[in-house]
Order: sequence, then structure tokens, then C-alpha cells
Amino acid sequence: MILQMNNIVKTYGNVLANNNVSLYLNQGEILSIVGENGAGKSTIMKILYGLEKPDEGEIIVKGKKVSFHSSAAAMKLGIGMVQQHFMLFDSLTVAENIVYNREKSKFGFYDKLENEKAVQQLCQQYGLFVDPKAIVSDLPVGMQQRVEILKTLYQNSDIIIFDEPSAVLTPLEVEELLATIKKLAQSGKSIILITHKLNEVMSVADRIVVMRAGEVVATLNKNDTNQQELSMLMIGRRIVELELPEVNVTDEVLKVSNLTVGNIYGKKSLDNVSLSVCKGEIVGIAGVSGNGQSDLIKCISGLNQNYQGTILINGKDVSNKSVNAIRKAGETHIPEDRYYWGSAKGATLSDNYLMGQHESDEYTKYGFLKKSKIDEKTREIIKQYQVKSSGENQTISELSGGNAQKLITAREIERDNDFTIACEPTRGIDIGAMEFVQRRLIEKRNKGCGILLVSSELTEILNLSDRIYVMFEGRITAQYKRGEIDAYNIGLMMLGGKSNEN
Amino acid sequence: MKTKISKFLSNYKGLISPLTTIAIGLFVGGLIMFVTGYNPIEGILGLIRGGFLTKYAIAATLTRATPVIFAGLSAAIAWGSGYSSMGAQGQMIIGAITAAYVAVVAPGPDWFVVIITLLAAMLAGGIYSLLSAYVSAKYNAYLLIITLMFNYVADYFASYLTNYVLLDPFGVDKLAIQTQKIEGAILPRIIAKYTVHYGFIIALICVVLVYILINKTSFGYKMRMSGLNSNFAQYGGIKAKKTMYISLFISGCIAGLGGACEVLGTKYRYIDTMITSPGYSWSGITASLMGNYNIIGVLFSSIFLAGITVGGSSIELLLGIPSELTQIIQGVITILVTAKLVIGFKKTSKGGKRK
Repeated sequence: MILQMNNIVKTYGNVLANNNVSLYLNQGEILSIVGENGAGKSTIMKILYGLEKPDEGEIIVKGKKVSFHSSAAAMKLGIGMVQQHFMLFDSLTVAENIVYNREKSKFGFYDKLENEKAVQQLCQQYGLFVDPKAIVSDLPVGMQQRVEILKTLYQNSDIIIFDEPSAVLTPLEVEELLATIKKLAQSGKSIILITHKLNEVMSVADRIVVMRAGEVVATLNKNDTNQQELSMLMIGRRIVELELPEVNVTDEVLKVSNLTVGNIYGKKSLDNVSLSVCKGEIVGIAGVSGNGQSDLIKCISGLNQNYQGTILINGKDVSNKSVNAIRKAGETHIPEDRYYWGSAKGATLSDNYLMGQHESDEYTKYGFLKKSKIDEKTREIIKQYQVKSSGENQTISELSGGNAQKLITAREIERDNDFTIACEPTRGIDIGAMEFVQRRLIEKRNKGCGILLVSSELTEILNLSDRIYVMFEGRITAQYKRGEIDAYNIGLMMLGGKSNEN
Repeated sequence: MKTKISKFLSNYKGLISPLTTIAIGLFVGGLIMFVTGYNPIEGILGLIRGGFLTKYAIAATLTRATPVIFAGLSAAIAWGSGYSSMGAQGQMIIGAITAAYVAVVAPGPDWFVVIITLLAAMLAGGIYSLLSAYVSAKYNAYLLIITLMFNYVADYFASYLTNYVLLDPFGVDKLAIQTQKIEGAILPRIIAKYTVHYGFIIALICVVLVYILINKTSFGYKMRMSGLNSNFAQYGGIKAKKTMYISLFISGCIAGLGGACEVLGTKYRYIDTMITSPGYSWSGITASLMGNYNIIGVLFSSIFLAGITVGGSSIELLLGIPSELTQIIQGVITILVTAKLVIGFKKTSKGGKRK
């Protein structure tokens, strides 16, 4: 047993984040910790990585009882962490990032050759190949993550924690990652994998710890359990398969024709894109992020007003029109980035909820805000969407990302309109609420709203869409109806390949 | 989810930072008194007594606070909407010189002239602010720099007018560069014995109106959201340019009104450098930062800053402690609030780029 955590208790204010949590890790084992957002997974890992101090309990690493309060101390004990948000210097090379703080130097200067050689050796030792000379920002996300992994290996970590490692990856990259994790375990490293994707858990984990509401509810051997049981343990009930009832698909609510956007380097970020969304239809855009989805959404929503081609919403020509004009044509928009576009961090929940309707008759009169009505609606939303908060007057920055997302998503869904752009509507939201949001989207569709769905969760696209477009390098490369294609083949298409079917 | 203490803190957290700032400012002031051989306790207490605790002190403090409140409101409107305008000083000057002219030449009963004068000064300040906004937008230059430059233009323009065009022909003191005295159409003192005049009441009314504008109206919502996250505002369909022009116009109007009240309430004429040398607008901007653009916070910060200046003159008189010390205290406070601003900028730029 390389690690033991016994009866860990951690409270924030009077929130019990970890209640008597105990777990252990054997050498060479992959232990997966699963649970919804807010189940306490992150807290226990923060404690293990020295970022938080437990109120009670003991940690035993390699047989010795330890107590440490910084990640530097954790690293010394051989505990490394691959964070969800990469901690890399974008403008430095792979080698520089990996050896940072432990670099070899010559006469007090950074020894480029020696360090690169060391990194090369490390890559070979573990079979994880990256060009040590490459600049990190030029690498795809999957490679950047590999750099993070190599960083922990360079620090001689024996225990490696992966925090939601697949959240940012494409399906193929996920497969590679899982293979890497297995390989690391075989070479004697002990792995803790935090995730809420159960298929990944089932494919790599040896043992599984299920957490719910700050407590460990079960510790299982992989071979003794299945996804159904795990998800039931996580949320306390079974996940329902989503069904799209037949709806009469009527007129086009969005029609995009020959949309082209050039960038300053002459490369087209959107190349002659044409697509349509009808009323009563959810249309998914599948694609590895960075293949033009963001540019497309910016054009349709009016955030970019400089492009060639035409966009019709509800039959109205809104090409190169302002956000305001487009919203008035009946559009709402769940933005891709909840903090950059989607909210004002310093503002209250009700102020954040009001956006887009700040001139509507419903919430204003003679230019004055109907404050009590806005607050009342916000409270209603908080309750309905289970936004964990102290009330409508709390600032949104104090909410967890998932809870902020719920409010933003609700703001754009709970309108009576004809067309909604939904970018990552469930990003970071826990399973229970995710299901609720997805169901609301479907209800909205059933009522006759057209929805354009962009999501990095392929399952979300596959589960919710009536039709799917695949985007690759700024072009629409394929189009499918619901059920025509599976995750594997669409994954291939997303990477520019050809589907095996048809 | 929260304990009593943290709930209390979250309700009143707006107060914590200005109070800490004040405490540190006073502490540094006391420290310097101590180092330079004065009794710091006596000094600080004297400062507070001289600024806040006697009838005379309160009157003097409120008199000085009046233009500071206007400048503070003006800054809070601009900065709170995300536009870093430093133009309050120039707009106050333009408002003041306009008032000094209009109040002398406008016909009609006194009360009517006062109203016309105040309106004219507001308009002048507003237009002057719009002008700087236009230049900044047109040439894509930092508003901060443009407004600072516009302050000099306003100062020298007013100085020129006072010297050559509007110079008081009947002035007893030929050396004083001042415009003709306003007879009748003035803002009288509230109580004859004390200097505080009706301009202070107008300032309080403005506090209420600006508070309502910012917090209760649809336009105020647009201003606040633009200030907190311009991307979010854009995403929500708020027109950035329109919001900028309107909020900077209002900001200029308030500053212009402040200049007019100073003319009509204290000097009854424009005197060269009467706005620049007491540093009203800087105190105002400091007050608005201290109050974190919260209007009520701006009001109290303005009164506080005015109070320590008044108290500073008092300890100079009574204890021989140089009044420059109060400038040090204000300086420390300015540094602290500016540091907060810089940290705030860093935070928002980080927050905006989250992946």
C-alpha cells in the first residue's frame, strides 16, 4: 500500500466537503474516484496534493504518516498531479516546461542541449513521444496534456493524480490517454483518476471509489460492477435514456449560406459554410474545438459582423447585423465561454439573469427595472435548475463553474423564442442537472424552437440532435440524420478522416 | 451555507476595503507624525476633531466635500461603466467658467438665472466630456490620456477667458485674475453663520438621482454591465458606443454642475485656478475608487477626504503639524485604492481568458 488516507474531514464554512473519507492506493494500481460535481472528489485530491489542509484525519504515504501544506511538499513525497487546466508556459518549449524548476544548468545558464536530451530520454523511457523543442502553444491539446504528464514523471512522482483529464480531449485523444494511463500503471506508477465519465472508468480502473455529498458511498472492484450500478451510486438513481419525440419540422428558422470568414493570415477560418435549422429541430455541430465552430457562432450571433455570405433568422436577413438586431429577430444564445461572454463575474445572479431582457416589457417599465420581478424570476430559476447559491443577490463569481453555467443556460433556454444557439450548454454541470437541462432543451424543441447545438461532448450531440453537421477546418464535411452514425465513426470524421460506414 | 460572520461580511464587504484603506492611511500619517517629532495620538485626534467634531468643522468639511462629491459621482459613472475618464477636473472648470459667465449676463429673476446657469454649466461639462470621448473613439486613443490632456486645455482656456475676455473690470484688487462678481443669482448658505451652501443639497440630490440611475434603470444596468464585463455586454446586445457616449455625457454634466456650484456657492465668480489648486477632482476620483463606484460609498468617502483636509488645516493651526501631512494620508489612500484598481484589472483580464 503506497498511500492511505484515513477519516479525512474538511469543512468550508459550514459546508461539509469531505466527511470521514478514507481510501487507499496500492502500488501500480489505477484507482478511479467518481462522483458528481460537488461530491467532494476535488477536495480530497486538493488535500492529497497539499493545496488544502484537512480538519481531521491522517495521510500515510509509503508507510510514513505525513503532514504537508504545499504542492511543493507533495511533489517531494512523490505525488504529482495532472490538472484539468494545464499549468504550462504557452510560449516556452516542451523541454523548458518539463524541466522547469529542476533544470540542468551550465555556468548558471540554462543548458538547452542537456535538458532537451533529458526530456528525450524521459519520453523514450515511458514511450510518450513529444518533440522537446516544440513550443507548447503550437501543440494540440492532447499533446499539451502529455507534457503535463511528462512533467510529473520528470519530478519522479510515484503517485499521479489525473483530474478530469479527458474533459478537453477528442475521442481519439481520449483513447490514447487511457492507453498512456495503463502503461504508466504497468511501469509501477500508482494512479488516481478523477472523472465522471464512466466508460473511461470501466476501461482502465482497477478499483473504483464512488463519492456522493462528501462521503465515500462505495468502493468497488471494477470486475464486480458495471456502469449502471456506478451511475446509480453516483446520483442515487438510474439515468434515463433521452428520447426525441416526433415533432412536425416546419420552416427554416436559421439559414446560413456560403459563410466565409478570412483571418489576417489569409487562411479562412470559415470556408463557404451553409447550413440550416428548422423549427422543432435540434441540429448538432460535431467537431474538434478550433475547427471553426466558434467563428460560426460569432457570425450567427452578431459578435462578428464582418464576413461574406448571408444569414437569415426567421426569414429575416440579419447578415452582418448587430447582436441586438439578431436577438430581436428571436435568437437566444448560450455562449461558449461562461465567463468571457456569458456573465459579469462581479454582478449578482439576478443581474446576470437579466441580460438580454434588460429592455423587455416583462422586466422594465418606462426605463426602470422591475427589480422585484427580476429577483423573483431568478429565485425561481435557482430553485428549478438547482443552482447552489445563497440567493439571487450573491455575485456569480462566488458560484462554482457548473452552477454559474446552470444560470446562464437557464437564461437562454427559459425564453419564449424561435431559435437558440446552445454552445456547451452542460459544460461542468453535474449529471442530475445535466439531465434536467437536456430535457429542457428537448421540451423547447418540442414547442417548436430551432436549436443549434455545439458541444465538445460527443454523446451530448448524438443524444440530442435530430441532425448533425461535422465541421473540420472551417468547412462542413458531412451531414447525418439521427441514428445514422455512431460515436466512433463521427470521431473519425471530426479528425478529417472518412467514416467506415457507407 | 454561510456562517453568521461570513454572511455579515458578505453583506457589508463593501465597507471593509474602504475602512481598511482609511485605517492604513491614518496609521501611516501617525507614523510620520511620530518620526518627525509630533505626538501622533494628539495629531490624529486633532485631525478628526478638526475635520468632523465641531459645528464649524462639519460646515467647513461639507463645503469642501460639495465639489468632491460631484467629481466623485462623475468619476463613478464613467469608471463604473468601464471608461477610465480622468476628465472631471476639465469638465468642472468648463462648468465653472460657463456658470461665471451665464450668471452675470442671463436676464430674469435670480432663481431663474440660477437654474439657467446650472443647466448651462451641466450642458457645457457634458459636451466637453463628449468631445474627449469622441476624440478618443475617433483616433482610437486611450480615454485616460485624452481626458488628462483635455484637463489642461480646459484650465488654460478658462485662464485665457478670465485674463482677457471676462476679467472683472471693477476689481478692487487689480492683481486678482477673476471674473466679475455675480450679484444675486447665487446659491446662498444654508445657515448664514456657516459656509456650507445649497450646492451641498444639490450634491445630495445628485447622489440620489445617480444612485437611482445606476441601480434602478435599464440604462444604468447597461452601464454597470459594460463596466463589469464589456464582452458580456456586447454578447447581450448592449451597444458599446452608445452606452459610452451617454454615460460620459452624464459624467461630464455632473462634473460641470459641480464647477457651477463652486462658483455660485463659494466664490461668486470664477477665479483662475480655483478648481485645480484645491485638487477637488483628484479627491473625487480617489473617493470614487475608495467607494468602489458604489454611489453611497462615494458620498461618504468624499466627506471623509474633505474632512481630513479641513482637519489638516486645523492641526497646523493648533498643533503646528504641517497640513501637508494630510496630503500624505490622502496620498497613501490613493496608492492603496489605485493598487486595488491595478489588481482588479489583472483579475478581470485573467478571468476573461479562462479556458
